[in-house]
Order: sequence, then C-alpha cells, then structure tokens
Amino acid sequence: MRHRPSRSWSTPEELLEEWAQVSALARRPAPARARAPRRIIAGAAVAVAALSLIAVVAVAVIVTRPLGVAAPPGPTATVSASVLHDLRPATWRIDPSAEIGPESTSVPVLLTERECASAQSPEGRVAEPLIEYTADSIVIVLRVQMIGGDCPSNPEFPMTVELSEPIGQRTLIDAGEDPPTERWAPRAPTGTEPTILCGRHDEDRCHRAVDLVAAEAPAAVAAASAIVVDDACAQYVLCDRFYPFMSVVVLVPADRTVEPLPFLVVGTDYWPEEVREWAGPLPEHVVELVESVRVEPTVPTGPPSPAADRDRARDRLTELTQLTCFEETEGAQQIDDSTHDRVVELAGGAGWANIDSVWVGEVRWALSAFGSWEVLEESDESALIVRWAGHYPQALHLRTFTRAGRPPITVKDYELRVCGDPTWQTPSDPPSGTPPAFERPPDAPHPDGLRTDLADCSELDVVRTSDDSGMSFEYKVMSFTYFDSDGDEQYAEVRFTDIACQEHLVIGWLIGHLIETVSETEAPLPTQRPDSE
Amino acid sequence: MPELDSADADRRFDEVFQTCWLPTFRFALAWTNDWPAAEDIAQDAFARLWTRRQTIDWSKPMLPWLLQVTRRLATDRFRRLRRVVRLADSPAATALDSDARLRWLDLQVAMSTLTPVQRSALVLTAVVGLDYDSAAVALDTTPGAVRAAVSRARISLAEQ
Repeated sequence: MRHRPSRSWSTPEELLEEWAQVSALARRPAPARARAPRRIIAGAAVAVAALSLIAVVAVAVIVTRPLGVAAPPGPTATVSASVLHDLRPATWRIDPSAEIGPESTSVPVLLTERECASAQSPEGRVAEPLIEYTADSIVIVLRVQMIGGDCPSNPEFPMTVELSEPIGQRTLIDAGEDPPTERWAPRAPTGTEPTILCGRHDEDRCHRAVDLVAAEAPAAVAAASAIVVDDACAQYVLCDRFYPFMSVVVLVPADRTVEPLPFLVVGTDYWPEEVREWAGPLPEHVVELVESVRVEPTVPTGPPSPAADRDRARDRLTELTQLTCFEETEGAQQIDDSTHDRVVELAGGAGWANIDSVWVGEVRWALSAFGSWEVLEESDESALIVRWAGHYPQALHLRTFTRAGRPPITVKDYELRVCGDPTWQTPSDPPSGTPPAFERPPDAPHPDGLRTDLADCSELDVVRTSDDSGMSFEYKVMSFTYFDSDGDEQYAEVRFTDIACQEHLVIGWLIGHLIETVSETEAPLPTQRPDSE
Repeated sequence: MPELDSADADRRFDEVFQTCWLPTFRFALAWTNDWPAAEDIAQDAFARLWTRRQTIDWSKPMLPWLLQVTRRLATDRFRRLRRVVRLADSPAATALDSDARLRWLDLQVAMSTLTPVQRSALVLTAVVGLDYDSAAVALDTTPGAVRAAVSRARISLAEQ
C-alpha cells in the first residue's frame, strides 16, 4: 500500500526540524565496533587456519567432485528467497572444470559464503541468484542465508547459475564481492582470436593450461593478442622441480608498451592443474617465444581520409563511453591540491570561473578527432586539461595547456553544453583570448547525418535520468562547439549511450592516454602522525 | 613506522564514533533518502576508519574524511545492487518504531522531490551545521554550488 503523507510542517524550516528529530533516532551499531573488527578477525583467522583448511577443502573437493568433473548439471541448488532469511551476499568464481562461452545460458560456479559459518556447506541455504543484465555485463549476486559461527574459510559450493539469455559478448561480474569483480570475459571476437604458441607442449596440455589461466584472469586473456605456453625449464637443461608439469603461460598484449603477463601452471601428473603467480624474470627461452609473437606497431604511411579519421574518433569515443567510470579506468585522474593550484594559476586565476577539479590527460586523441593527422602523429603534446564547473552545472568548460618544456602552448577552448536544462549559462568573465559567448552554428548538413536542427536545446534528443542516489545519468545526444588553433569555430555532435558516470563524462572527449597518474580511489586520510617515524 | 598503541587507537575511535556517527548517518540519509541504506553506508564508513585507526593522525578532524568516504560509498553503483540484496530480505532493517517510521516516510516523500546534492547540501548546512566550505568538501564541489543547491532546495520545499 502506498504511504499517504500526513505532513506536520508548513515551512522548510519546520520540515528540517522534523528531519533532524527523526534522523536523530538512528540506531547506533552496538557495540560500536561490532562490524569492523569482525572482518579483521575473520581475515586473521583465515591466515591462521589456512594450512588446516587447505586439507579440509581438498578433501571436500575430492569427495564431492573429483577434479576435472563438471559441476552437477540440472538443479541449481538454490532455494526461493521467500523461505530464507538473513540473506547475505556470497562470492563466486567460474568452475574451472567447466567451459562456458558466449552462447552459454548456464554458468557453473563455485560459491563461497562470505559470512562466518564455521566452514559449513551452504547447501540448502543458497537463495535464487539476483542477476542484472546490461549491454556489456551480467552482474550476478549470489546470496546465502546466514547461520553464524566461527570464521575460518568456508568451503566452495558448486552450483549452476541459470541465465535467462545467453552470455554473448558480455562480462560476468560478481557483485557479491567487494569491490565487484569480473569473473569471466568473452574472448576477442572471431578474427582477433589470440595466437597460441604451444612451445614444446602438445595441444591438449597447452590449451588446458590456457583455459586454466583464462578462468583466473579472463579479462587479461581476452585482451591478449597472443599467448605463449612452454615448459618453465629450457630445453636440454636439467631442472630440479617438484611438479612434473611446470609451465609458463604468457599473455602478450597487442600494445607493445604493455608488459606481457606471465602465469605459472603446475600439475602433479604431467597435466596442468593449477595456476599460480609467476615470480621473477621470464626464462630466456620463453622471452624468445614472446618476442617472436609480438606484433610490430603499424606505422602510418600517410594521412587517412577524413572519413576514416572520423570513424577512428568515433570508435575511440565508443570505447571510452562504454566505460562505466573513467576515474576507475585508464582515463584521467584527478590531481592533487598542489598541482591543482599550479593549474589554476596557469589558467589565469580562479576568478574566471569556479574550478572544481583538475584533470590530467593527453590531447592526442582530441587532435586525432579535430585536427590534422600530421599534428596527431608528429606532436606529442601532453596537456593539462582543466575543467570548469561549479556554479554552472550545465556548462562544462574545458581548456588544454601543453606541459612545460613542450612545444609552444596551444590553447584550445571548448564550451561543452549538455542540453535539456534551460538554466544553462555562460560565465561572464572569460579570460582574454577566449572566443565570445557560445553560439549555435548555422544549420548545415552534417556529414554524419546527425541532427543539425540545433537552434534550441530542447530540440535535442537528450535523455537524462537519475535514480535516488544521483547516479546512472544517461545522455543520448550532446553537442558542442570548439575553436581550433586558428580560432575558427567548429562544431561537433556525438551520441552517447549508457553513460553511468556523469562527472567523468566530459573527460572522455579529450583523454587518450594518462600521462600522470594520481590514484585516488578514496579520500586522503589525514597525514601520518609526525612522530611516527 | 611505529603505530599508535592499540588501546589508545580504540579509544580514539570510540570518541570519533560518538561525535561523528550522527552527522555521518545524516549525510548518508540525506544523500540516499533511504534509511537502511544510510545505516549501511555509515557503518561502512566507520569500518574503513576502524581499519586505519592505528596509523592516522587523530589530532586532525575526522568528520570531513568520513563525509567524503560516505559520499563515495553512496555513489557506488554496485553497492546499490548489493543493498537491494540486503534490503529485500530485511524489511525490518531499521530500529524505528511505527510512529517514527511514519514520520520518516512523510519526510522521505517530501525530500524525494530534491536531488541528492540538494538534500545533502541542505542537511549538511542546516542540520549538521557545516559551513558552506566544509559542505563543499564533503560534496566534492564548490561553496558556490552548495549555496545554489541549498537555495534551490529551500525553494522547492517551500513550493510543496
């Protein structure tokens, strides 16, 4: 039944007074640290009990599901959530003995209960999974009824998650994990399958080793252009080792600037059974194999056609906008306060507009989209990218500066306008050299066939939504004008879909590669105690 | 690097918990307009503080940090999904009695007309008692934007 308001206030002040009174009724966790220490204690208990639990888990695996045998098909072993209570998220991973692909609708997984349960099996306590289907991912939350108990590690529980649609080219994400973790990613589409070089192994062992690694690092495997597998021991060399099967699997990315990612795969019966982290440098014979499969970068032989350039820009934009949040990826990163101040000074002081954040990135991609190809390839203009916002939530102003010591400063001023809100306005005090106020370009046929009737923002096909927590914004069409280095006004329009991170959306326009990384996933804590040296 | 004595760190944590729990919860409540979610988020913010209690400088004010963490936790889209998991099966997640619950539902309906930023700006300045600069830090915006949000929030509430 819908609640019928029975308000007892008539002014905002009275409402706030009522809000203050009710919010003061919030219960405080009792005891205050009841929640936090338990996590820590659980972690410690895991460490302490690790050795004994390895044996327990190993026995459990052998008894319930011999290695190499797929999880039991059919019933998903879940119970209706309506008959369970105290459900808590559990983590899961793809059953390494199972094979899934884009066409799969059943996902064999190994569930691990996160809550303390005295290492009891969750059988009979697993609720129906919660599954969220999106364009690029399938988010799965598995839940287990909490029973309480001590906090050693809980055993893995094999079960099958039934999907209502095939996986397709989507990643599987475990949102019961904190943070949510990717558990499986599709391989590269046909035509870009990674080349697998099997070294001295036969195909069965080689591909089994690759599959094991794929289960552990699906995204890395999907991104690899080649995979090298070979015995860890060089040919004609006697190696003293414990495992009959002991091989290196190296994921070789297409980008030569990215280091290959090696894994150690071992087995007790000359058969790959387990993936481990590779420690130390790669053996020389493996390095030779890696070098043999690395693809030389393509050197452009001349300027591409404008259409190709545009397509490339659009592809890049698509790639960027498919990211859920640039802050969490390779996009721009917010810089620290001292650099912020320096940039503000560079920009002519804070009086021009409210600078609420400063980002560092590279304009390489922007040049590829809006400038000539020659500029893109011959110039390595790293730039500071400054975003102005603040008072003008609908007007985001971007300006770029080349770094100190770089070629002469090229300033590009952008005014990016998110239409749909009539309160938009332009700052009244732009710095010198900035072109005059925003003006709509004349209606003209657009080469891409996008909308050109832009006399009024309300005519744009803009969709903007948000939920209660203020996220999940979605912009379908955005347009902006910018002024190129010759001072000529240019116009561009682009369509975005599935934007989930408004604050970082604009940055996607300009940022190709990060040149200065300041990781700030959390607010900085107060500094270390001065006497703690 | 020597760490703070464990007992001393615990005591500091308790002090901060006593003074900062309510404003942290209120901020989370304002942002989410969701009582159980706010409890959950405030707890997580303090859990993060707990894990760092032996290495931080307790002479510095902790509330700004807690508010920033709270905001980031509240905007975690995956957290929202997990929250669904918890709340769907825990309808009695709040400790409110029936009368208080009805009062809250009234408030929730009224505040739902505001954006999260407007609600948070209003609560931080009018209820928690922060100045605009501090509220701006918590909301990762400028004092001017906070003023604008508060103004719009008041206008919106007055029009109801």
